[in-house]
Amino acid sequence: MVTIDELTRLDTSKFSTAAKSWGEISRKASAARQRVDYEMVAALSKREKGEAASAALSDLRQLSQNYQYIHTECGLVRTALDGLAADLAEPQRKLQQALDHAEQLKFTVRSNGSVEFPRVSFDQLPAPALQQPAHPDSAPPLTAATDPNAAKAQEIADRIASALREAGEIDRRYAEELGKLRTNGNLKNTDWADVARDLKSLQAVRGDSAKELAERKGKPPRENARWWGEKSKEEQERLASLFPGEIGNLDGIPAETRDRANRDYLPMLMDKLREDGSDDAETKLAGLRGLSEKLTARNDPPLLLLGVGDEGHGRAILSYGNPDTSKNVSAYVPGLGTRLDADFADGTVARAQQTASTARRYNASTASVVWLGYDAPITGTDQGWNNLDVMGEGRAKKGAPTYDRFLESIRATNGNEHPHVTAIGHSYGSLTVGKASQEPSGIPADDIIILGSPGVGVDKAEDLGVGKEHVFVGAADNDPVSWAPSKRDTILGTGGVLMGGALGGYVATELFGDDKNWFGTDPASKEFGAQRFKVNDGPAPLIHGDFMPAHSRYFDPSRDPESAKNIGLIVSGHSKEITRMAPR
Amino acid sequence: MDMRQGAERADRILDGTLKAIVPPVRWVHGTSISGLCSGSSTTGQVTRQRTVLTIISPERRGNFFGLVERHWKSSGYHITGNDPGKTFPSLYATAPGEYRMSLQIGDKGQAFFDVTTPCLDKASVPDPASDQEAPRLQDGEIPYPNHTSDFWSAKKPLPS
Repeated sequence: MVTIDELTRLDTSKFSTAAKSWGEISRKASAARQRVDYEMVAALSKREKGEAASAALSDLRQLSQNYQYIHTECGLVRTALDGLAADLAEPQRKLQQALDHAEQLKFTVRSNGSVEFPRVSFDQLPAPALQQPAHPDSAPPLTAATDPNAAKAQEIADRIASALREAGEIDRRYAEELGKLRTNGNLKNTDWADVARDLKSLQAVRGDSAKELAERKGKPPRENARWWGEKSKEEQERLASLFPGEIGNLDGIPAETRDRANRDYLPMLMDKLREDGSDDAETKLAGLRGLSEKLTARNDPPLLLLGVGDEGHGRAILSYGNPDTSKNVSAYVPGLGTRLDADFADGTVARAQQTASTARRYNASTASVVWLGYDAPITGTDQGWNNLDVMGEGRAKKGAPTYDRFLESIRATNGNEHPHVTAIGHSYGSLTVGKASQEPSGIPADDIIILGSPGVGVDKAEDLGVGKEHVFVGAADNDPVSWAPSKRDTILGTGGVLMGGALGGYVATELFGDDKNWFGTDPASKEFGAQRFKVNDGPAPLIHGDFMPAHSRYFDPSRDPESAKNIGLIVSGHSKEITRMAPR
Repeated sequence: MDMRQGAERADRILDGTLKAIVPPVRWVHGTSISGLCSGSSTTGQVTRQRTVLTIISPERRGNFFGLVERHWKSSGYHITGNDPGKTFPSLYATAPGEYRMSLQIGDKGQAFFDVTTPCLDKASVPDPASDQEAPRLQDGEIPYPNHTSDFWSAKKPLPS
């Protein structure tokens, strides 16, 4: 039971000071881990693999994991101590107020919390009466209830009791939590399940923060940016270490903060998937492993993890270049068949790197993001021939508002007053971009690039809302995804439900008619009215080989240098330098 | 041939190209990018980049391009494209074995060389190497052109 004396004398700064020390250890461990990963592991990985090298690498990876464990756990201790200091401040304040009030009224507070008050106008009674704090099962007070001082004294006593109770509960909660943060000192088994468990119990202590963060997900990014900016640095760090997954994925939080939080969250997510063990989890885990390797390497331009998660087919948002400091930011939505897997980590992310690399030559202040923030249609024979989902608009419609929010968040946290934002939609992703432009507030992009598109859901470039001179289309003549169904059926004989391989089931022409692509007028057509830039025709599709080699080369400077250059020019704000080709 | 050998060949192609530039220009290694070839888990390609730090004036740019093009042709490479745009011209070629290269002019007239290998068997790729001396940047970004050459930075065009 906390006494008045204890609570009034309590100096919470000793908790804050201790917290600082734990924070220092946490930071140092993180820096050490980075040194191991960036300098030691990276250097060793490049050399010839022999047994000694493999063994050394394995030890280094264990060391890296140990440092990560120390970083996280010490961060949790720091957070708990900071929380304890902050939470105790309130009951301490309330107690002091009650005591001050009592002094003002010339009441005496006993050490047991009872409050003496002078009786009003009853000269006959020789001694002052005592007013006890109200207890549910105690005897009714001895003094008359009509004395106004009795009521005041009762109220003060209640406030004192309440403050002491509150302090006691806080004390008990934190003692329990800190008691849970134990290690057996054996760093061979740095168990992520342990870390996740510790995190959960500390989050429960800050239940109000968890609730608030859940609410923030639906608020406009600019509001979230303001909310975050109003917090002290300590509070920001506390939230980021307690809720790494939530903060890392919240639109409106600065990019570097999201990156740090997601890097802390990534190993926990991987462990969760490892324990799951299902095929789906294994697929996502392979993707995360690939991302983890890229994040660990020394990257030029720097690589930031702006979002990561295991919902749906997986979520991953990565940026080459810092989108908060760059004047130009592009965000690329991938299409058909994209999900969080090893291919994504390798190939799809490479497109963002290629875009950034090319664009930065034309303007160094450029960042390129790949945004897998939705479930793209997944194809494959396991989906069956009647999978209309492959060619339905549902997925794009669902992803559209999320993509808009992400673009809003870029603007909200960017340090330049008017960053130049380019939306890039590739394949089915172009339909998502199209749908995003049809949301009530439109799409917050300055330029739109459409690549290998089966249609964007509108029939005219100007309907995208950015002005048709800001809509750019790349369509290789040998890219079947960009063909109208009638042409494809003629050339490939795909009338009716057919075609296996990467694209899965095509739906019969009857459903969509002859003139249009799947989702509206061909964006490369004259009717659509966009700016068609020059790309290479690409190799012809092979029915029994790579079905659409021309579909994914747009970003690749070695396979389609003209296309890659044009994309880079648009992204870097030099769209008037592009080379063009006639619309079809 | 694997990715390591391919990368080494790419480095040699770049060495040859830069050696052919007379008078010589200053340059640094750019980022080396390695990745799996699309649709494959056993082959990958490497891109080597070099960035020129010598200021090449617009008046001398044509000579620079001409020199590189002549060298590539005489090395048996095939010129595949030429974008002579005023602001950001570029030149593309392929070398036997499907090595693809480019010379590009970017912001502030800076010249960039790239060579990409074909898809080759996976292998760990060493840092870019050269038989010439090149400043190694410790950290941070490659600077804009900061070296003045009497020849390449001159404002007067060469007499034709």
